[in-house]
Amino acid sequence: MSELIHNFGIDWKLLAAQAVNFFVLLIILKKFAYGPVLTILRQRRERIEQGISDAEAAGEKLRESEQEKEQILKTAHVEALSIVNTAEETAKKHGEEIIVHANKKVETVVADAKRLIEEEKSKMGDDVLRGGRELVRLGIVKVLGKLPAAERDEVLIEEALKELKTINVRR
Amino acid sequence: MLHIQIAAEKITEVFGFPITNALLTSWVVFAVLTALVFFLYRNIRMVPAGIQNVFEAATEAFLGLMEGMFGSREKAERYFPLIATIFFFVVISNWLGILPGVGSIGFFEEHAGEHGETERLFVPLFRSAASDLNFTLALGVIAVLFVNFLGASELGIGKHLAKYFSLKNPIDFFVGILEFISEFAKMVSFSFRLFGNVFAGEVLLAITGFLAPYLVPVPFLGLEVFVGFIQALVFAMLTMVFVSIAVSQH
Repeated sequence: MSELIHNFGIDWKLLAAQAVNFFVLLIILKKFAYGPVLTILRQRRERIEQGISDAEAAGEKLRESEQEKEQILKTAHVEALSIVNTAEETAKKHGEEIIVHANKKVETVVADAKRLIEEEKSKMGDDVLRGGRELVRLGIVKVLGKLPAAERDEVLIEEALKELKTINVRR
Repeated sequence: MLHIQIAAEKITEVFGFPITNALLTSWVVFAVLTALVFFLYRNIRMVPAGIQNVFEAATEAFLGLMEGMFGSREKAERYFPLIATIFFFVVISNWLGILPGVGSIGFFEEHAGEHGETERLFVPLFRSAASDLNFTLALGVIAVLFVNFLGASELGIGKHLAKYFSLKNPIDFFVGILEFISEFAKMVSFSFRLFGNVFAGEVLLAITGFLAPYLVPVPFLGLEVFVGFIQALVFAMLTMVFVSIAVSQH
């Protein structure tokens, strides 16, 4: 046994040195390699999982918003149609009303105008009458002025009596 | 003629502490790994690049294997440091061991021969760490001790010891004794498997290099790269299996 140990060069000092070597290496590797690398692997795994779930959530949300958009577009379309329809209807109604109103107005305007014209006409007739009378008076004054007063009066009386007679006869 | 020595050559002695070329190489391995780790630690990023990619790929591959073995990621992460450290330590020392210069750069030492005349022996400065039984035996003992320690901390000391020392019935008693002996057999098999493979590889390379120095050793170098990786993986996988057996309830 001792010869075997000697032949293989086994020495407890060397054994201890190699063992210490290994233990120190184990501690160094654990502290500076395995620990940080395992931590970073775990963190990366978590981050990737987070990223995947985020992407899935984002996709879901996108799909939802797409649907929502479609829904909104659809309702908007329907609403737009109904708005246009009601607008058309109200426009038609308004148009009719406006026409009716306008007709009424036209009638009143025409009536007013007629009345005004009528008034003007009558006023003008009065004026003409008044002016005519004045003119006739002046004319008469002018014509009769040339006759001597007594003769003129005779003539007038004669005329008036004639007139009276004709009025009585007519009756 | 080639001189092949099973034991690692002693280079010097510091205060009675022998420093062999294999121990020196294992220190170099330690320094290389530490440097890589510090470089990794300084440049650790959420978006990995360079060495972090390599390390993460190795980590994920290992964790995937361990997850299948232990059943959960959390358990796999708990036992990961031990398994991974064994793997990285062994694989880097195996690969450094086949670099040119390891085993060829050294000095001559005068020895007193058997017949009184002085012998000049070549002592390489570096020697593949796992071609020294001290290295592999230390790893084997650590692996087995860790397996038992983890088993005890998972199941409780009493329950763990009951695997080896049971007085419930004669069958359990003898099975327990066998189990106890097999723990030592595991240390031996761990250490001699790795030592044998790496030492044989060294000898193979030395012989092919001696017989045909040009081109012929190239396929053997490739083989040794492969063997170095496989042996590291075997060591780590076996430790993993033993841990998973030790921490599982029966």
